[in-house]
Amino acid sequence: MSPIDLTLAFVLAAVPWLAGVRLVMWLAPGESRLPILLGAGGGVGIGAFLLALMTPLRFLPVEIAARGVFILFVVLAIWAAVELHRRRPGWDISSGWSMLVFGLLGVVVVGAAINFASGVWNGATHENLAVRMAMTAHMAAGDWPPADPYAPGVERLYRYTAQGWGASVMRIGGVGLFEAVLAITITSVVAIFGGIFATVASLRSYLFGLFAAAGFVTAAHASFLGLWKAPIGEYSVSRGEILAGLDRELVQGFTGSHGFALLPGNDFTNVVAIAAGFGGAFLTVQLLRGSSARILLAALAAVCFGAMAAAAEQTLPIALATLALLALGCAVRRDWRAALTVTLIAAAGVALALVPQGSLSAIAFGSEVGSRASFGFTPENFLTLPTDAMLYSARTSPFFTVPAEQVRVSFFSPIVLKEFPWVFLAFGLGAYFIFRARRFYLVPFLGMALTAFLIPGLFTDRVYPINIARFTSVGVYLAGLVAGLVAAELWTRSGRYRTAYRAVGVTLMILVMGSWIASAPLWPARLYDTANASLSEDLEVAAFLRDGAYGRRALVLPGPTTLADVITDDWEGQHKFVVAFGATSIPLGLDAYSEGGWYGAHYRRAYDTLDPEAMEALGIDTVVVAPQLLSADQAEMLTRAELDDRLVLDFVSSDGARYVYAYLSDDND
Amino acid sequence: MNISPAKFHTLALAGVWILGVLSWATAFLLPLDWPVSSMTDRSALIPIGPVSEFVVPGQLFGTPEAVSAIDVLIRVGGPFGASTPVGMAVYEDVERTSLVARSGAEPVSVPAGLAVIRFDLDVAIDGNRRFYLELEIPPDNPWPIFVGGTRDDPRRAGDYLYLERRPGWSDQDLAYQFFRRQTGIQRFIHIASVRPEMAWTIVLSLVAVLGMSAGLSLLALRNYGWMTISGAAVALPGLALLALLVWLLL
Repeated sequence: MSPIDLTLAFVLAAVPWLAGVRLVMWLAPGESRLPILLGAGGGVGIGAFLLALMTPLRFLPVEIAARGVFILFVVLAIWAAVELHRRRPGWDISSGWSMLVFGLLGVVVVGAAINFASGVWNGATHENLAVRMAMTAHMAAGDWPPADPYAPGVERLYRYTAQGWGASVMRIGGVGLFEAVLAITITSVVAIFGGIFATVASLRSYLFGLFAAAGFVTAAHASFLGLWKAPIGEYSVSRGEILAGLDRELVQGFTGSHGFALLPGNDFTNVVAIAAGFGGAFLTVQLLRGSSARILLAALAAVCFGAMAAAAEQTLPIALATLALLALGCAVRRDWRAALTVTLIAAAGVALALVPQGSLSAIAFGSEVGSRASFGFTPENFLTLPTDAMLYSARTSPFFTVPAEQVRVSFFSPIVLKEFPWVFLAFGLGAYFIFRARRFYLVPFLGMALTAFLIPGLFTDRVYPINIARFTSVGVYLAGLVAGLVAAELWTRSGRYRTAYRAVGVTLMILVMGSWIASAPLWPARLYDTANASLSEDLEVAAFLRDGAYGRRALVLPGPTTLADVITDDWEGQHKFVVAFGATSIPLGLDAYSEGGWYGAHYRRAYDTLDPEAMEALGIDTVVVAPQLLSADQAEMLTRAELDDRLVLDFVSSDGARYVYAYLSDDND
Repeated sequence: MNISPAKFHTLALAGVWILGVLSWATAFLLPLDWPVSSMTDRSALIPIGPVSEFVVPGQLFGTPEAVSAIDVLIRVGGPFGASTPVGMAVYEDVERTSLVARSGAEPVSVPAGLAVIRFDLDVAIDGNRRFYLELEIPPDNPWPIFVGGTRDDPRRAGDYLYLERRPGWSDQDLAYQFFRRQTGIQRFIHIASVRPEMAWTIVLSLVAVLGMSAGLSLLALRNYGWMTISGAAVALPGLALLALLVWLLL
């Protein structure tokens, strides 16, 4: 990883941000506060950039589309810099608060970078690297639309938009996969913080904006309350060592969803989507506050929501429910024009979400790719939460566990009350402030968090049941935002019980942030142990594979043959580096989102016997081998293939831990 | 006793700076036992034994870096509270030609069974080398003694359990954990040399926390002078860091 590449990646990732500042200055001409302009610019710019990039990819070659969009946004960014210099908007936050906010943002950013990096280099998580970053690498190296890295002849039913941004940074800057995705992830994390701050501060005040943003980015299950149950002293006297091993579980709860701190390491596409979503939220607030540029504001808000949905489809129902609540509120106040505008934003957002290639457009337009999705309406699960989700089910949590066979629990089961006491407190107090203190601005925020929690009780994903818990994850972050708003309301209340209100507010924020605070000092330890014993040699192999023409298809020996294998660090995790950093397909047919059955069956035959028919059907031309990990049968199989001149040694890594063979089929003998 | 505001300011100023300097200096210079390997998972533990002066438990092992203390799991049979002295000897190799370090401890019978026993070595042993250790059970020990073991741990690849000075079961190892006594600054320099990215995250985290502390100090002490505010900004994270290090590692 070179510092120059990293700097370049961050500069390129910042271009949409600065361009977004120009758009905000244009659409909210009365806004002269620099914290608001900078805060909102990130989300607005990211939303606009994503849709601007994905739309021409429908009809232009990828190289032209990426360059054209970058040139446009660089022009906007330069224009923004010139305008900022000319107008000199004021920074009206005191030095103390500024330092506090930037310090907090610094810790959040370091946490995001650590969690992201540990997923790539230390085997902390796998899906980000093995699936989403792999797609990014293939997009950067190949044509459009991208093929599935695990089923290279097939388009995958998946979202492409955030990966498209990462791939464009790689193409334009010539930077590496890690640098590009790290840069867009961190930029998006800061944009989320800024977007929430600017949106809420526009409605209330900077203090409310800070509390809401802090609540969102630090929200996690209250698993720190179970720290006393940690087995410290039982088998190791070192609290540090025990807690470092448990730090993931601290932030993660029994639902298997997790605090926002872990999101950059698990799914960077979600981070990008949420950033764009808060860009849309800011613009909608500006519109409802009576800005003069109504049509343009509505159009750009719809663009942001469309980009958000295209980057992470599960955010769309939450945004639609929120916009519906807003429209309803406007209608109740007989502001028909505002109600109609908000409804149009929602409709246009949905329409624009179908423009980028990806899962939503595939499903909506009834293509063969879209037919692989299967959702069910399951109201019998109403007011329940899934217990099993994502990669790290909380059944591994030493603190709060549910029986292994119990896949759903009621909202009001003891385990939920223990894990999410602050969610109930925040929702209850939020409702109190709405009805008793007429704080109607809370309604959409409360509505979006509630929607996210309710959806898993109404719908199921029949292909990947686990996916429905993604709503719960987003619900946790949004509930953190609501908790922040409620805490700010409590903090700013006056009267006899002021101290009591403040105490409740502080308690609420401690419950929201406790796990995040408890785990933060242990984050650096996540970078210590690597699961990849031959990491430098894996990167040598990746560089060798990447240097050749794009389109290689590899058999990895020993390596994964199923999805469950792919998302592990077994076999020293070599497959992840082949498919992601090497931009080489491993045609094992990951799942039902591609032609998983056909690829899986053929790959298994190729893996077990180097069966020529299967190898040819899959188009495998490369075999990547970790010789020290081979079983005796596998070693013999390779020796036989070498003697038969079907395998030719192409590359040996520096310490001999990795070999790359060219596979010669009968056709290219 | 009346203290004038000026005197109070001076005292506050001196207090925060003394606290700040002391806390950071202690955090950096206090020697602590840093775990340099992990203890076996609870679920993977097996008892090995009974061991004795004849059935001597030994282990061939490699060190990830220099080691100054080794924890092993020992169960002393007999009534709770009964104890027996156990020695540890570390040799260059399994032939025991050269003694490298020695230690002793007195494990006690506890209800939990296997208990973590710390052996502080009289001399720190080198890193990235292989050694052989033996537990020495005294001949007059009246209680049955078991040691904690583990089976098929990939992190113990190349290690080997010995019983009666002969190779034991090939898939078993003693469960152990290594510690290295270092000051915070020594540990940081080591981490910076082997895991620079980890060192960077530590530095950046400290800078961010110092920023937060500066902001808080500025807000809370805005009527005091810059020296008091900067002293509090330094002292707050220093005290927090010291408390954290002591709680995690001491």
